[in-house]
Amino acid sequence: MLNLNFNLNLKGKKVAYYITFLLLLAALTSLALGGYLLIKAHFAQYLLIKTWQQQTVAGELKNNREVKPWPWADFYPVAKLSFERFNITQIVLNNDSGQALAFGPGINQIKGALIDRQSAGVVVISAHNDTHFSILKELRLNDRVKLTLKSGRTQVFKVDNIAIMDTQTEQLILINDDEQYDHNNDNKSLIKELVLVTCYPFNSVNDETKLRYIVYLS
Amino acid sequence: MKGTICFPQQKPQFHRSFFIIVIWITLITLVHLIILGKVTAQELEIKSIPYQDISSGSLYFKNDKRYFPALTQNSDYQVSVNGLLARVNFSQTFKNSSDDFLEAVYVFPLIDDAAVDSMVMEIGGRRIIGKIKEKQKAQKLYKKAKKQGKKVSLVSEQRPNLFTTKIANIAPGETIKISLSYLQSITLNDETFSLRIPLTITPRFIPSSLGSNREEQENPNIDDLVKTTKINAHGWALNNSRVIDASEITPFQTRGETFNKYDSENHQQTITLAIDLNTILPLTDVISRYHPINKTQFNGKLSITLADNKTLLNQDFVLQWQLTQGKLPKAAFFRQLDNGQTQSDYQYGLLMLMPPKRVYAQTINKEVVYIIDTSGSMGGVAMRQAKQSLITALDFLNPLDSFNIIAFDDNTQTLFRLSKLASIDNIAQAKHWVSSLKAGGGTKMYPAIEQALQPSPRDNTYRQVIFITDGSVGNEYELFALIDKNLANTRLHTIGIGSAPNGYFMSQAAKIGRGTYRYIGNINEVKEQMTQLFSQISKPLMQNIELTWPIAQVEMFPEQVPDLYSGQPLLISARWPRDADKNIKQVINVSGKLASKIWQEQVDITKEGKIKIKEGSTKNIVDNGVAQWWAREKINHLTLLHRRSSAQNKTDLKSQITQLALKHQIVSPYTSFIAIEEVVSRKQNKLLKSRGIKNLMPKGSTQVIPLANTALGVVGYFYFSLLLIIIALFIRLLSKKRFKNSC
Repeated sequence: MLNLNFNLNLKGKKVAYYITFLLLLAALTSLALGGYLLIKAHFAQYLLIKTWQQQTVAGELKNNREVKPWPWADFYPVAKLSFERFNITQIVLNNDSGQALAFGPGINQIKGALIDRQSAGVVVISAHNDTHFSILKELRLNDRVKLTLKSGRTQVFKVDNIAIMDTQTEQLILINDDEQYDHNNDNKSLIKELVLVTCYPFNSVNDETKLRYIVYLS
Repeated sequence: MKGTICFPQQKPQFHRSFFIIVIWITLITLVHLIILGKVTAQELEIKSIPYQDISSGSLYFKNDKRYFPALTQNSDYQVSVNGLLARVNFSQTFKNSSDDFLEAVYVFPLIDDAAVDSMVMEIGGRRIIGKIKEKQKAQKLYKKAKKQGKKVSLVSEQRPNLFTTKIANIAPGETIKISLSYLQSITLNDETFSLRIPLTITPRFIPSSLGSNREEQENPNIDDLVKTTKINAHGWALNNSRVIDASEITPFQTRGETFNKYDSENHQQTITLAIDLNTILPLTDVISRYHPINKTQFNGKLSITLADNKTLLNQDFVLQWQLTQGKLPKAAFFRQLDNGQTQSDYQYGLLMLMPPKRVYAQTINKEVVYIIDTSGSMGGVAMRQAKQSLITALDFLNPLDSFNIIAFDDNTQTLFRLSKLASIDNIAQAKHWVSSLKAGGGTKMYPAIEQALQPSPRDNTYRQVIFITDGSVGNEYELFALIDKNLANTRLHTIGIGSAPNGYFMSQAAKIGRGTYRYIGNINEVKEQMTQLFSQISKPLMQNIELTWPIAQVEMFPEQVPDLYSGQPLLISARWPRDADKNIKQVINVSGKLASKIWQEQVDITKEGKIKIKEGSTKNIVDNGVAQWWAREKINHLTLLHRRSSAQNKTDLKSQITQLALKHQIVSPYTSFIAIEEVVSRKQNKLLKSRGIKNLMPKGSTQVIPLANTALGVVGYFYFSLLLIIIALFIRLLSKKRFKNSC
């Protein structure tokens, strides 16, 4: 081996440089890609905050017009989520498609539709575990989370359960849900439960995990 | 570095500084990752509760120290099968082994078309018959009784196939039994009858059985979309996503890992099951798909019990049987048994009719319009799979069929201006076109649907629209109206792709479009599902089915008879006034169109089928369920209207549903069963300590909330780049060493 290398010394060196260079380039690209996802997620929130403010103002004027953060966006902000202990505020989008989640936490579509009609008993919000909802792993029991809806109504929730669920074999059941048909109740517009969902385990290489980390707040 | 002859001076320096930078980056990343790892470890420690171990749907109690399964639960099913209906007596026994008074919430799956019409709570030897009440009223009563310390239980419908039992004030060491009685339909497809009982209460296993039932579940007669459908419009359709080999796919190891140690010790959720098959006709091939069974022939009926009486509730029970060759009756008519006790103003009937099979089984020429959603949300796997399935679907077309493809996002584009014949050239062109589609943009469905429903220039074609989308839309009502108005003879089938399609829209659109709805929960199953759907709709369909009753004022459900796919029976529930019964002409005329031929059938209803009465039924009134079944069908119909109607009509319909459910004593979205023991068993100074766990249900019953994919795997990128950097460093070091050696 060494003998051979000795003979091909000059050539080998060039090849080694070449390979090293390529590897570093690939490494940087990979870093950049990862970084891009994080940066996109981070800075989109600023735009969303702006849109949120516009919307809150517009909401009063134009009665629930949907303001899109940028013209080609497939989503719009519906709520504001604040993690009190961490002093972090995030704008929640109206759906949890892959597209929307790249920019911010999304309300589960099926339940999301209800929030506009103000009849949701439970709100389910999902986000990526390596961007917005990496915060979830820091949440402890009794931590407070504030949710502000478009209508301006604000509710404070306290963490009361943290669970890990295998989507292969289990699913989210929301018991408080049946209360939403309690039309005679004056509190009908109150959200009884907030559920934050993200993938588990955190900092995983795998992007198709079957496990979900679920934080129940009430 | 003496050997400068080999290399210019500057380059190594540059490399050295470059190296230092690289090493720093590497170190920082490593430290970062190590810190991240630590946080994960800490986070894991806080979970004092074995949530990942909890068997969902089971009842867990909480005391001060830990969660523990406070009871052993046993489910008992007594099933009596009569024709196409089965009466199931289902009892759940709970035992509180803690020292406290407890309240328990138990969420359990039922078959999606279950009409629960009786509930009894048994404590010791006492039986308390449950009363049907308006849901809100029942809830109030429950809360009140709970506060007063009375034993109370409440059974309500969460979703058409998901029910909840709540029991308050279970005394320490006490056993409470809740007995429910319900009707369910037996599905009949291709001469095979099948009975499915969802048992998936311990979830660690995918009930692959649901997969095998998929086509039967497509039976459009059964509208199980009840009001709560915002979440679960697709209750049964979701089950479609199961595959037959799901249990093989599910890693068994996962089960071993997360198997609840409490479960293995003392938490025995077991079932006992007994089925009576009461058919006069000889049966063959009675098989249980997933559980070993014992069969005993007795008195002209076949009794089936589970071979293992400690069966765990981890897989749906499916029993299938066939009638001896050629014995399948072409038609049957069942009437509500009149026993003098039930002096109602109405008579009820249930008609089963088997359209002729394969008589006209030549292929028919059809026109198929595919609509594919290429909006941004379809991006990635969904789009790939949608394309793949569309390409597969194109292969199902016969050369004489014509087809077209509409792709929409913000704009609508069509493959051809008008539909073209499915010649080899055209298909090749279509495939090429499909594969070039890219996802992006908004979801503007209206123009696409409008275009797809435009009347075809060829008049007599059998027109199918297949709508592939994941998109959630806000303008459902507008779209429903559009479909309703423009449908004519077209059939609209919807296929939901992606993690969270708007199930309400999809199933409703298919219903209005008189087609089928499939939900593809797992994106990997798209291809298989599409293959099945297309093979089903590629066969001729019984259309324009009309019934002429010999009686006036017949109210029948489903109101608009759906098209029948080959091998599907027609199942019609009807009610007519009692006095109209006297001048009955005894023959129902049924007509339909199969391919180009007219099919006509006369059903003589004087020879009505006999339905035996299940003895020991918890109901006092002897009945065969025909009336309840009719009521359930009507409720389904009304809930459908309810969803479509304006706010003013909604309250009206809601009260209609409530009245009907109250009259027929069945659980509906607005009615619940409640049983209260008038004795106060818990003193006010004692605390009611408990609660049920309100999460985690078996996946098999219904996917209530499809969760988004929430991992980007960003860390993966970092690891990858780290790995590359290390390799690069290594190579660099090696070559440097060589360089030194050489000079």
